[in-house]
Amino acid sequence: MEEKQLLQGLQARQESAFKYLVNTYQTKVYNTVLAIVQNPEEAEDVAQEVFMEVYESIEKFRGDAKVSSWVYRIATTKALEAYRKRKTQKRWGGFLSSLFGENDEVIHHPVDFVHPGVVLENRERSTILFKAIGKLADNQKIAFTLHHVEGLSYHEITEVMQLSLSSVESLLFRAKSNLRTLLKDYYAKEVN
Amino acid sequence: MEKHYNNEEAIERTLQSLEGIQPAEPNPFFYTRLQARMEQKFVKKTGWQWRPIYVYAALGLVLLLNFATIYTLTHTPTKNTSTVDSFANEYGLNSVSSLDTN
Repeated sequence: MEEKQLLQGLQARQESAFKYLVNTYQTKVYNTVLAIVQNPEEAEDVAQEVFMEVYESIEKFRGDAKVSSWVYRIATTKALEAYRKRKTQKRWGGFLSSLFGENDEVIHHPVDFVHPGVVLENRERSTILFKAIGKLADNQKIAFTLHHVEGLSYHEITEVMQLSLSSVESLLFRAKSNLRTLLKDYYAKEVN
Repeated sequence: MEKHYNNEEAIERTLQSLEGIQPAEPNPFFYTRLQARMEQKFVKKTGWQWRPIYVYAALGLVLLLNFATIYTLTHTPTKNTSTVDSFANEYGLNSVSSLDTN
């Protein structure tokens, strides 16, 4: 289906258009969200919410950008929201539990995230990397994920993030630099 | 020094660990589950009373009441004159008033 046709179909609330959109983008959305929330059940949940948002906000989309850019934008926004929410819940969950005298229990069980698409021999290292990615600032996290997990080009990332090419380049440079620092700390502790 | 070198190598290898990554796929029947969730949301948002069957039933009831009312009104003889007469009798308005100047 052509982009214009798809947009018209979506605005007319045609099920065939919406179904086509979901089938075309479900893997892209799920994969992007998964890399950010780092939990498969949550990623599925958020991915559904992304398409619900697309459906509900189609009138707002002027068609001045590609449908894919718009969908990726909603996906990254919702993924970050979910990630932040879970982090806050963990923090408060721990606080409330300590109030009720359940200090002994480890409140959140940090399950090591394994992305199913990573090459087998890299799985262990990628788990360490994803932990570090989780600690990046939002925009760096998005840019890094879109490029290294989704394989988007710098140009495509500018369309999703609505930033200039130099801004995207800067984000990716800083992301890598910060990851290096985080990994340095990690491996230094590991040795000790 | 060797430790430091090994760490550097480990860092680089970790940074490269996403090379060749394949996209993760959602569970099968993603669209079906999405549809179900959206339908559920619609019912929740607007309430069970807005489900089509209830809307049609309510409309049907209103129409029925309208027809019944119209039928009742058109088939019942009006008792207007008798009502007016009895009212007039009660207040002595039938006879000519002594206050009439003619």
